[in-house]
Amino acid sequence: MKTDYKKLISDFIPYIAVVVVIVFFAVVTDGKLLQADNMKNIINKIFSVMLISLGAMFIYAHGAMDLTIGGLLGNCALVGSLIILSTGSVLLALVCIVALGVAIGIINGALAANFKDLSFLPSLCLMFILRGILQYMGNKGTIKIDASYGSYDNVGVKVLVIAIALILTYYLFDYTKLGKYNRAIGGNDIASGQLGINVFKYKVLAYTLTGFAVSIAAFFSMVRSRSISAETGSGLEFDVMVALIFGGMPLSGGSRARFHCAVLGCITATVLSNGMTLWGIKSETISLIKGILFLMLVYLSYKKSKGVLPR
Amino acid sequence: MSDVMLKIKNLEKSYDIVRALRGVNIEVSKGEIRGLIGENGSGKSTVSYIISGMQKTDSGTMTFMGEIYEPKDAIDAGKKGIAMVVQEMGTISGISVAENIFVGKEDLFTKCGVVKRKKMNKEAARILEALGIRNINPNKLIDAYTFEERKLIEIARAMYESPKLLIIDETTTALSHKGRDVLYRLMDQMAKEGKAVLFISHDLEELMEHCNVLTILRDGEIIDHLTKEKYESNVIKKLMVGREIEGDYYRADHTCTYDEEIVLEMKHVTNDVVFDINFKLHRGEILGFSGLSESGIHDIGRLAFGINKPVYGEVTLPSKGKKVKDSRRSMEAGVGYVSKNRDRESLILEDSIRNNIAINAYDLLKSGIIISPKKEKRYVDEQVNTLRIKCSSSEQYVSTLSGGNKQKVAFGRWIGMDADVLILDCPTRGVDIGVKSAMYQLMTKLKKEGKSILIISEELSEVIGMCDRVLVVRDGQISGEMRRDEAMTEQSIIEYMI
Amino acid sequence: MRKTKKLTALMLLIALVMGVVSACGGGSTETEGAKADSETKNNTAAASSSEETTGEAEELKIAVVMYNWADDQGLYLQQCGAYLEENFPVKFEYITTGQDADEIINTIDELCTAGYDGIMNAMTAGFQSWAQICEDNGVYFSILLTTIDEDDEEFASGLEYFCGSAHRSDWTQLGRDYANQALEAGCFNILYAGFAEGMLKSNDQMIKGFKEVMDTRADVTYNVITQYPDNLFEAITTELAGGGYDCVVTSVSVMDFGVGNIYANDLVGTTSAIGHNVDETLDEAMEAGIVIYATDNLTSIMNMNYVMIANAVNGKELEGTPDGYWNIETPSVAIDSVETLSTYREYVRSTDEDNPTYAFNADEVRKFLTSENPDATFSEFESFIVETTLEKIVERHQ
Repeated sequence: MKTDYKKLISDFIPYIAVVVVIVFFAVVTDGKLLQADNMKNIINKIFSVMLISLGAMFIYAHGAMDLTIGGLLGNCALVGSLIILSTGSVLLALVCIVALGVAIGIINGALAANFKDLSFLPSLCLMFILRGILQYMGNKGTIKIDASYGSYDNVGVKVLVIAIALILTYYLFDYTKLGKYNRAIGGNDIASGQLGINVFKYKVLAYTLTGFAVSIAAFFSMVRSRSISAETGSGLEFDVMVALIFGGMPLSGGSRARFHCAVLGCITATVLSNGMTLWGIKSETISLIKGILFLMLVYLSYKKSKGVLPR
Repeated sequence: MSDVMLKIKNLEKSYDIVRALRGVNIEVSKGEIRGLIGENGSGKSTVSYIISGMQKTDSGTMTFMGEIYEPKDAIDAGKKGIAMVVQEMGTISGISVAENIFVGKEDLFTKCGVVKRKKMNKEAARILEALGIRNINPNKLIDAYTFEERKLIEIARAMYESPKLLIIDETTTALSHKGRDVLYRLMDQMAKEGKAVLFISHDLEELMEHCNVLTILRDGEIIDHLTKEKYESNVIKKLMVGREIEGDYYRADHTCTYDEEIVLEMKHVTNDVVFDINFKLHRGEILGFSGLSESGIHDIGRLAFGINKPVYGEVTLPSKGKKVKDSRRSMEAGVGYVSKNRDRESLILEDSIRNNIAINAYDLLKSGIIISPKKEKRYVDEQVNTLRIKCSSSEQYVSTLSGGNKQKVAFGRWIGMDADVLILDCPTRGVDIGVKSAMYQLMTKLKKEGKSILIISEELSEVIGMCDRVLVVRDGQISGEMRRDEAMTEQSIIEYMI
Repeated sequence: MRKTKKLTALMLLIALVMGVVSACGGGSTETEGAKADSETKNNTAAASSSEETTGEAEELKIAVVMYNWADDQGLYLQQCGAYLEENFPVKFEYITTGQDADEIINTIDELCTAGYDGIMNAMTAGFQSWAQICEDNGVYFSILLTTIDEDDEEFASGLEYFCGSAHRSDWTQLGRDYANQALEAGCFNILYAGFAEGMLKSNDQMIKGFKEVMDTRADVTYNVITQYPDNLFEAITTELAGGGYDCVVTSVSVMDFGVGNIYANDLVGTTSAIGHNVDETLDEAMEAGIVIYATDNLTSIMNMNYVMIANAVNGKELEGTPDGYWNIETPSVAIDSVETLSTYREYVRSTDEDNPTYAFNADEVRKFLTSENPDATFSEFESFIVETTLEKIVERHQ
């Protein structure tokens, strides 16, 4: 039985990448990378991206992508802040944030599923709308909430939230129809439809789950930065995309979209970024390095369609 | 000068650890139409790829027209006088018909750096006419034409250089009767002119009818060369497969049997392709639909399953008291469908056999709130074993399987779900003899178990061999019905088809 | 089977990694909350690097955080930084970050962990959060190129590690100055082009000042357009095409937005430019008579901030440093003629790379470093800075 080495390597690359990155930066920063102090940094930095990636991987699994993430996070944080400012109730803010995240998720999903191959179009439009709202509000001045709310930004709670998210999404992705169908749709949406999968429904569910993840991340972002501006959340959708690709997520989705793509990819991307700052590399160099690695990974995990050997 | 045009001696070819050819010897004479037949993996395609210059041989010699023949590539082979037409799409989208025919040879029509379009088109028209290919405008973009028409254009391109040896590699599978006729005529013409044709196909009847000599391959070796007098279908099949084909190939009985109960019915179904389709499918019946490719037979399959909705009329499942509304509901009611475009519409190529088979069965495989991997494996293994799907493990990607095994995977998911009604569109297309016979046996078994099968096929012998009733479709309407217990012949069906 | 194999392999690898890393890290200081087996005992690399023997004194590691180091402003600041590094035991690291508060907070967090002695931050979003982080980590920080929001001032005054800011806080006067200069030059139809409202406080204030003056005159017309940076240039082009303006005033980058548009639309001779932020292309434009008034605020920033942080790290702030929040108003340097320009080039910022000039040179910096001059006072420092006008600079460096 011949082992498919190419497949084995492409499966293992995300694991290798994580280990290499951790070892490299641990050595290069004289171990500072792994100190408790920096662990806290890493957890804070990875929190949003990981949480959202765990949701977004369902979308990437069916071959689409979500460009509204940053704008949605900003708007959720905005709404949350406004509610806290007017009612002082954190609980109410959380409820509203989640409601908003889920609602936008459903709308986003319905639009994207309708546009099929051009699903990025409504996503893009929605992103502009969300960004526009933030810019409009931001022009009135930065919105701030009191420092006392900072107590909700608790590393321990965040670790717990991530742990729950990991377990939950692992279950959903590998052991329920939600994950399997989204991957099937990514593999062949025509066949999926013919086999009785409600393509529309499962796509919308993927976006809804992501919207929910974004809302939770928004809550914690809100209590951590305690100020909302037009720039809040900007670029987050690309951070998620980069992280997933670092983890080996194929942009076309399908069976090669794995759970470990989100987890490993986020770890790799965050440790990379954090490590480089600790090490003291110029920021331009960081962008350059990130770009090169990104290209390499895309190339390595991109599988060209195999030519059919004559039989 | 000897009569031998192409001589191949001791050809060896391996791909990694797989020995595709083990010492193959063939001699093709002038004026001969040589057929090559063998199961998947027999090496027949490898032989043609090597002769046409697309692959290099590991060892062995080839002589063509008396001289040593070692083509550097396909273009080199073309210059020496050997051309090939393949099964897949060989034309280039986005350019015109004439440009496709003369691809790589535009200098013939270039003066002062400008390509003389009119001249090219005229020449293209001449060639197409000479081959009897009608209704194709050389100036039009090739994308405007169907797969079959593009295939004919590809043939014209191959013929332009007046090859002495033409290799036809499983091209006829994708062609309709009209297209095949063009090819047959061409082959006869070449034979008459003292040239030669190497014809590769899965269709035994076709080979037996058109070839002077038939070479049978199995596992990379030549088993035998049979001349026309020695042609006998069963013997050839046995040689191909290497063992007795147990039982009969098609159904042994000649009776038309089915129960009274109606499982699927169409009433006055009409859409943009078909008109006023009425029929009943009974329990335990194998009902066949036969017709030309564009006649609408494939649409009937889609309408029956619910993929397409009729503009007028209705499709029902009377035994379940349900209307056919969409594929999901049909599936839930126990109907299964295997599409003609199996790679594009039935299978997820870049995914495991396991996921492909289990995909519609998750409700069955649940264990509490989890889809149980253990149950899944058991379910999938069962199908793999029952259908004898050749693979190293169920994790293997479907894209690596042969056509026949792919078809088995597509089947597997419906067998596993115990579907009552199976709608099969060209189920044995591109499938080799061994697998074909297994499928026919499976269909017979299902019929005995009281399942109903609606089979759409362009292969007449298959339809005659397997069906209780045959409905012939012409131009979107049912033009005739025949029953198994009456004499069903190809001729009578064809009469209704055209 | 394969999954468990993968998992065990991963576990083994991680254990191996931890072992290697522990072996690599050396040193004495134990970190807080070290985990039982897997944490490395590690000495802060920062401490070891501050004991480098580049000079007699400890070399300070300061991180400077901004949104873009590649533009004219960024490059100039780096140049000042290099100058300081030549003359003093300091090493600057230039960090880029986006405008998102979360990102800024995380970056500051990382910088604190990385062991910098001081941080100069131009990005104020999320101030309270990241200021608190610096405070908790014992890292001194100052504000660069801007001032913090008024509602954060109270919070800032409670922080021990806050080293103040030195920047112009009220830009309204500058807006008035622009208006007056344009009117004095005899312009009748003036276009003001600024960034979108709410983006930059300075921008908003300048517009206010400008309008204040213009509204007192009934005999002149003016128009104010505001846009996001990406779209501003085009917006100006469109406006100029229809307007018949004789002067363009810009809040930011007068050379790019004002002069650039004049050249692009062939308005040399018909329209003049006034505004803020100058670069080396100013000379040609001024000689051609296009620019009639330009201002600059970059004269002493890096140097001032260095003083502020160096003193704090040294443990001895300038005598009389206020307890709470403070900001030193830095004036703008105004260039209103070709003569003034040559003075500017000679004394403040020359275009000659080999002979750079600094309005606030090394000797003057030394005067206010408590490590060199323990008696230096805050009010001396403040008055020195406040009086950094063109005339004063010439006086000092004659």
